[in-house]
Amino acid sequence: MTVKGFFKSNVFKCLVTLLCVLLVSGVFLTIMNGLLAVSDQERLDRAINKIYGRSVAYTEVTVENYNDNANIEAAYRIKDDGNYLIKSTGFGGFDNGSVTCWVVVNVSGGAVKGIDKVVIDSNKGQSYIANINDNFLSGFYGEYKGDFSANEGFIKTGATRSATAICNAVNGAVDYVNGKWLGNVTVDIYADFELTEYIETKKTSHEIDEGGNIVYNIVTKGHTMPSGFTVKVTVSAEGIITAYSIVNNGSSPASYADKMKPDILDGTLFVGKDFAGIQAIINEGITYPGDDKGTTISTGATQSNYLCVYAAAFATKNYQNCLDLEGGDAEGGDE
Amino acid sequence: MNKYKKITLDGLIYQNPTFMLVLGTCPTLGLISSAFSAMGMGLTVVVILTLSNILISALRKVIPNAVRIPCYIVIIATLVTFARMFLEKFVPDLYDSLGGFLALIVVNCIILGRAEAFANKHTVPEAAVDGFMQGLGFTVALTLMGIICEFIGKGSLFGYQIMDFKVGMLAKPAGSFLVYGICIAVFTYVIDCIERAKRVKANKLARENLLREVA
Amino acid sequence: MGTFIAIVLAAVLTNNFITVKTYGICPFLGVSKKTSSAAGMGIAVTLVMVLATLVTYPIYTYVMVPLGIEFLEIIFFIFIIASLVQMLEKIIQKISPSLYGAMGIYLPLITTNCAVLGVTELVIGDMSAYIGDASMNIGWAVLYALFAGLGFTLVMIIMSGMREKLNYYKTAKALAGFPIAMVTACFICMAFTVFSYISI
Repeated sequence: MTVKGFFKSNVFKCLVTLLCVLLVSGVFLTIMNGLLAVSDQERLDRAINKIYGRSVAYTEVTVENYNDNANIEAAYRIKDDGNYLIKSTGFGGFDNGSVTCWVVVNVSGGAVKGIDKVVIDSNKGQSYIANINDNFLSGFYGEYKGDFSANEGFIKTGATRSATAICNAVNGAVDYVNGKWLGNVTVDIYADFELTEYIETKKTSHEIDEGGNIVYNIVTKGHTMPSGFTVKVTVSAEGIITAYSIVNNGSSPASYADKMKPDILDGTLFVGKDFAGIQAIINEGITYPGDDKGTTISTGATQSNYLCVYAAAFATKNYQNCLDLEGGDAEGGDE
Repeated sequence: MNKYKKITLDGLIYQNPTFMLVLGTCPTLGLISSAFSAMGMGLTVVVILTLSNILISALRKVIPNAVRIPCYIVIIATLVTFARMFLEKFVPDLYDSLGGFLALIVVNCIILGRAEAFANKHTVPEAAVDGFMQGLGFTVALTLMGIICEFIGKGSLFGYQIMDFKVGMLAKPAGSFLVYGICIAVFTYVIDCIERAKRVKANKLARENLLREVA
Repeated sequence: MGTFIAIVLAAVLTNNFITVKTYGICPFLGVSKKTSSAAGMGIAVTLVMVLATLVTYPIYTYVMVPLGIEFLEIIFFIFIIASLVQMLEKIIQKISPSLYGAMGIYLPLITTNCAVLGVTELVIGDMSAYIGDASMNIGWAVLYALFAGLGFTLVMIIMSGMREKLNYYKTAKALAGFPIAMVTACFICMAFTVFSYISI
């Protein structure tokens, strides 16, 4: 076939037609792509408007974390009503998985007023997540009274671990709003203290008076049986306990409270003792001695006794840490 | 005008792509669990099918026979890509609910099938009407099944919750298969009955005519 | 290893192409009347899925994304698949006429099979549901395509077995053909629902 013949042949015509069609399509689509491309910003706007239910203006904020059980992925402040939209991943779900939620935190008058909306974004390994329905999520809505726990105030779902992860995500979002913008809580000031294993560091507080006495309000975590105790402990300048009283007895059921050691119940066991004195009651490392009879605190309510001793140990051991904390605060100003 | 009436009836009933020809089954089964996405898919196909029929019919004398299939595929793929961009920009809800099936319109047998069987043999207006009617037949069928599946499977219609009672299976692929199968059966049965009634009537008329002539 | 198992289970059982994603239904209903033809079609689809992914994934990742022409993916992919199928047909015809006899007739049908285009589109999208935290690469993509194809073949064979048995029974006239096939498919789907409870 000659060159001239090729240009007149059917093959050439076919090729030209196909190439023309391709070229026209390519050019058309390139122009359309330029006109219709959806930018990342637009995608984000859409996602946020969808969750919020109406179109809103917002500012994005950099993210820090205030809570061990949740990871804040992204945070936005809605301009017109001052609420916050937080994307938060809660841990502690089924099989160590996690749930990522969008949480709308309603803020008014400088305080967290409540949760307006929780939308589940994604999850890792939560096979029963379908059991979490709108009825469950509406348990978060309304006035904010304190951290959510999957065991209280919620419809039982059949996906308790996933529910725990969601609670953690929501708590994380609230902590974040509180800490980052409202300055209320809760940078964990006791994080570097010793003996914090059984102490709810975020709920615990202390005051120092002029005489160098520290008055703690210690909230302990629960042990296997009892839930947390609230204990008021005063430690004097020499690191010696001068007053000890149980504000809230977490021993459950209540009948166990009767089995606690009487001098722990009224606090006389601890008064006048320093940290070494507390160690003498229990052991060197303030570890749980086990339920065996024969240890000094085994009375049939060993765990409750142990938590009380632990609180006393925490108070005496960290006396100096508390004083350092105040000093550090004074230097650092309001930061 | 009779020509267009036939095209219309073919598209909607006698050659309904969903119930009679059973084409485009993948998006049908994948999307009828929700009436909204089923109808959205149907309307998208109406637009793409009409446009592709018009283009292919207009180009039918230009495109050499040997490369016609690749050319059709390019034209259809271009239209689908355009539809995808358009939906993502202006109807993001529908774009999300169609998911992967939007791109798969390219290999939807209805569109290539109509190009091959109709558009490359007919004039532009005929091809346009055919594309629109075939697409409409597809849309009506999908919406109908979407309503059935969503109402029983989720207790809602187009996303609005109506009742608490639901049979979850019907919102899953298993239910889609079941509803689709039963709908085909009912549709063909009804058409069959109508045809038979017509035939019986025609026969009767013929016999009466014959008797009259004999008399 | 965890990712490997996760991909295999997801592709074959928990996210089976036919019973969960409803991709590739045309051959599933059309070519499942006999076990031999169902198996032939399944293998042919698997082969094309693997080859198509092997070609489209690198082209998309290393050519189209750097050039910023991702929006042309549909045209590129369908063209690649169509040419692959044509080439494969010619090659099989040359190398092994007997294999061509067994498989050749199914190959032209595969171009317009959504399972093939579907898998190439899937692997360039968000795969985090299947591979977890591992980063996506061509190896995982091809592995997913291979096992998705095998999952497709599995359901094809189950379906053809059931339809062969159905031949022994009389079905109502209105139900014969596609309707009864779809009701059969409904039962297979229900059986496969069991696998959705697998979590890795």
